[in-house]
Amino acid sequence: MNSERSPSSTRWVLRAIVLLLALAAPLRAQADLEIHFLDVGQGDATLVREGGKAVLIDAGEYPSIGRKLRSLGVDSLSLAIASHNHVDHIGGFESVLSSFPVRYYMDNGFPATTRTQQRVLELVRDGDITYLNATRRTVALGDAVLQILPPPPVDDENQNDHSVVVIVERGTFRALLSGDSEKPEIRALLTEDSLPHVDVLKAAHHGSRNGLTPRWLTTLKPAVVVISVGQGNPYGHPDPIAVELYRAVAGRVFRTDQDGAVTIFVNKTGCYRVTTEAGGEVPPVAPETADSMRNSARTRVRLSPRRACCKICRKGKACGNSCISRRYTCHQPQGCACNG
Amino acid sequence: MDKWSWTVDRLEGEWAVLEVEPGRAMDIPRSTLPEGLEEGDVLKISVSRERESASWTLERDEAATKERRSKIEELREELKRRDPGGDIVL
Repeated sequence: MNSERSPSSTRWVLRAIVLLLALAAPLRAQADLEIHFLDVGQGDATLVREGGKAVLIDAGEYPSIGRKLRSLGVDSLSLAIASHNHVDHIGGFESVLSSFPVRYYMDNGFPATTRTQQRVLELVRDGDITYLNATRRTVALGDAVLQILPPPPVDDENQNDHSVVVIVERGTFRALLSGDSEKPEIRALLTEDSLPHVDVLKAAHHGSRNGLTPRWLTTLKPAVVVISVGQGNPYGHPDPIAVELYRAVAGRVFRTDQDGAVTIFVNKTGCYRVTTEAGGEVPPVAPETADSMRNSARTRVRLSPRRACCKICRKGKACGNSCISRRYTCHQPQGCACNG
Repeated sequence: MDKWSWTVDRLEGEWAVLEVEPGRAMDIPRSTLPEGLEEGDVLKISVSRERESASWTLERDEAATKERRSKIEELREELKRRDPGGDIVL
């Protein structure tokens, strides 16, 4: 048998390859931006992935973060960001920086005095990782953009109030992560920055009551809030009143201690959906729907611990965020709809 | 007598979170610690054992705090020079 191909069959093979690559290009471009709020117990760790590149914002306290990243198919990080230098945010970086290739490392520029801090910075130095100052800059991640807001000047020595704020954008979608910012930093951010409405807000400081103000919530108007918190932590996180305030503003509030890891998938236009490890989900939300969710929440928001109702069901009965016929069984978790 | 050095990682309400070794922290009620303790303080812990009992004392170690802070500042100053500046494309 003659194994050599004729010039014309080679041309056909080449054309077929070119055609396949051309067809695959738009599929690649359509891949979702993923934001994984990982369940790391009491602490924060958020993986942002797009276009085959990954960014890790905080690494929790424990070395198990490495295993979690590998289970998601992550084998290198383009950027690691420490929102601030408390052990429940940087403890896991020792394992990450020792076992994953990392290109850039950014922190808040306000060093702690722990040996964990020293070890992490030594690993950055010895690993020839490029250190980035938390200045006002953008980081392009495929066709998503991370806006970096440096910690504003705040007159205290608390690491929490020197948290780097990251806004993740794709299309019309916005998610805001502000580490453990407390009221002094939140007030300074509101004064200094023109903050956008966001679709997703990571609750600051594990849902603590000092991680929000009424103006913070009414400025950001999140449709979804994610609280990264450990089960049975001794600090009282999240604060029940803070949770009620988040519920009053946002359509949905997720907690990693109850829902496990929470993942947001965002397509090119900014349409997003939410899934949780425990099986909860928010079906795809188009940007215009997200706006109307926010607007409807805004008109009814009462910044008090009382439950806010986005819909009063007089004929049917409340089910999640809407009303259904009384004859049907509700399979939704408690939402913002109320029985009238 | 055993001597250890712990660091106040953070204060969370009634609790102090003390870093006992890199990447490992422990919660201790603030009421059992010296007054005026601040985030970032390095503490000197001395444990004396006598037969079956042990007692411990804990005090702020200002010299160790200063030394640790300056070592870490120095490290960060070195790293800062690596920043290429401007916006970043990953």
